[in-house]
Amino acid sequence: MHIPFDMDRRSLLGFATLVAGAAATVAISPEALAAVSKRGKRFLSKKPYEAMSALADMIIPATDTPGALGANVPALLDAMLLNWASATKRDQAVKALIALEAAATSQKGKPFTALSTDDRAAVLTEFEKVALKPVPAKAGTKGGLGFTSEVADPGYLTLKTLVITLYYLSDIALTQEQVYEPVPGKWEPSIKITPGMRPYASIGPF
Amino acid sequence: MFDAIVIGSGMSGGMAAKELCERGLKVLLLERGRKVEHGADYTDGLMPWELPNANMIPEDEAQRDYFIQRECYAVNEATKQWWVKDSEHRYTTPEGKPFSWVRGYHLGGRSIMWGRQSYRLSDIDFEANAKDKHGTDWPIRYADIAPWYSHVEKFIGVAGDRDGLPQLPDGEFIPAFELNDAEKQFKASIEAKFPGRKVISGRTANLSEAQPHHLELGRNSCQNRSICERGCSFGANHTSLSSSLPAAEVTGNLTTITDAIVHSLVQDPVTKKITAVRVVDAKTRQGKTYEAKIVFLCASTIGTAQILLNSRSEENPRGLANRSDQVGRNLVDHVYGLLTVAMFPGPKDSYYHGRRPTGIYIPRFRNVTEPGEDFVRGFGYQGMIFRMSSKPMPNMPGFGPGLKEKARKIGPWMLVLTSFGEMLPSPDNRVTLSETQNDQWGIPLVHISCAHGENDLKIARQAQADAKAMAQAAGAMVVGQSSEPGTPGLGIHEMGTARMGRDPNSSVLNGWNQAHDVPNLFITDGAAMASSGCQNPSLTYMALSARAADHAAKLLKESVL
Repeated sequence: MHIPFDMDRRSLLGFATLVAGAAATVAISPEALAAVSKRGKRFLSKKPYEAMSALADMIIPATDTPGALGANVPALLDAMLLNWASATKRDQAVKALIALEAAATSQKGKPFTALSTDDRAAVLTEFEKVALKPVPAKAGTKGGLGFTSEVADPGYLTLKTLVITLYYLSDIALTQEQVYEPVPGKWEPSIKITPGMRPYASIGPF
Repeated sequence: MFDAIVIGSGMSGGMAAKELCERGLKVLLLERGRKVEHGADYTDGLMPWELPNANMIPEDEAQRDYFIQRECYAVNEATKQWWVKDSEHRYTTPEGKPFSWVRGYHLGGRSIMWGRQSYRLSDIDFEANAKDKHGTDWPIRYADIAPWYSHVEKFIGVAGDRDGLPQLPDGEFIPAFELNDAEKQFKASIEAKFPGRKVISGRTANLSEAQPHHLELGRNSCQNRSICERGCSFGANHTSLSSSLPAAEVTGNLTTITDAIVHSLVQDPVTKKITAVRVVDAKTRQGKTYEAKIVFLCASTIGTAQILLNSRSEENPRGLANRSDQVGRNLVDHVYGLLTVAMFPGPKDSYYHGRRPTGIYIPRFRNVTEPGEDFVRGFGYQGMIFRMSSKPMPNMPGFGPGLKEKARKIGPWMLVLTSFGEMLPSPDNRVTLSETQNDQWGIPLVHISCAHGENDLKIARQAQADAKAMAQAAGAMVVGQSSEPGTPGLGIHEMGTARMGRDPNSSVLNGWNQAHDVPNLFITDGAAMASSGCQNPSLTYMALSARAADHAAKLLKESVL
């Protein structure tokens, strides 16, 4: 039943080595990313792949734990665009990446990938203000909760959703950020929260 | 020749087969879907990061193959093998009147991915039709079925508390999954402010503590993973694969044939008995017939109606067992999809450990302890209060280290209530056969015409108003409520298409689930339900199946059949 992501073991190892070798607090260089992106079947071509990787790195950066790059999110996200997304969703995502690059170029005179972390943050803050602006949901969403809205740039929302989803499904997030127990065993209805306690992650409905 | 043929291996068929086998009958179990194996075919061993496509079905595939099934909460990449492809299993509905038929064709049927909530009906339910004149009177009362509820509960294992409520009789329970501290606070608040309303632990067919007879069948205690619908390798929830079919198999009396689609039943015009079951092989499309002394039809509410209607003959131009013209009619589903979501002021320093397979339940109170102003019958709620995920919300601006930091915090308490309302039987809500379109096995497609009536919509409105009032009375802030119920069918509690009754002219089955017109035909799935109550119905199907199997075996022994 298990259908692995479109990613060979070598690419995975390559990524791990790359991330391990990179300084933990700065964005990985475009050259390093490009070297990895040469391997394996990809949906995004080199430039948008690098932009997406840089975006993922900004959304979930490495801190005292690995971030989106360390959790291999760009390759997984690219595979989602290839294997999961509809053509419409793919196009929207690519358009959002192009818009992000355009915003960076117009504001800072350089592509998003070529900017410093601070400049990327400045560009992305402004970009999100516009992209995530709520717009009314399309009619016909029956039985919804009444607070459903869509955003101005659905392509950007797709990218951001996938970055967050893939990161928090990763073994890194589920072992270093949150606590995931595949087999909790006992149900304990009442435990005391202690300082620094992390949340239990859940994957099913509860 | 077999003693009995059981058609359908799901919740009802699995139980019927077990009970018949245990009484010494040689049983042939026919399942239209493929063979699957307990454990080997489950996906519960996948770690979150191994889930293909982040556990989402590829969008084009979902649109092409699962355009109905995808509406069900439990359908995802890890469970899609349990649901039919809508592209391959078509049915029709009238323009503007959708019905969502959610189902799975494989050994064990929907028992693999059922919601496991297990509640008894009470005399309030069995007497309802007689009292308010909707539908026809049930031919049984609670006392007739109570011992069979006990029999089934002991076998399957139902975790619950003895709550002493007349509208929700207690059963043979194993220990309940205790409420968490926020739920206990909610319970205290509701029970103080609304006398007559109760908040209880959801009674569920998960083994909180496996008993010796469960262990003997290879079933183990629940591990609190809450991924039941992927198939449970621990066998901790009752399914046909983990529980009823293994019990049937140990008798040595069970023969199972999968990929066997029942086309129709053949009735002898003189004895009125069924003499043969016509089957089409799902793979080869070859026809075949099987014979037995008795037949249990447990193909699910709509499937059962399809088989009866397709068994038309010169003697029975309207279909088999259909003197009353009620076969296919009175289709109901619970009024479903009514959510209320609220931020709950639960205890700040309290948490829980484990992902329990149930939540809270609020039994029906309208037209029980409180009046329903302008409607008959009522509704109950399933729900839970849990620590919300603190993962970043993608649609909110913000990124960077702060997001990660926030996701390390334990989230606030959130209350979710979802109501299940009783839908009144109406002869106009019905299943018929297409006159023009057949499926790939030469069987006419079903046409489902079903819509909520006035009383059903009043129930929906009251359920939402009451949920909001309860949430607010408990100090919660309501952040969202569904405005109208989901499409009929989405409750996946379809019932009523071959109802039990006292009068052969207005019902299909007698008080033993035996067809008035066909002495050796028993129907014990949701089709038999003369009314739906508002309780999750599988436990009642199983109790009816066990009771009818016992009766049928006695009739065989006494040579009445």
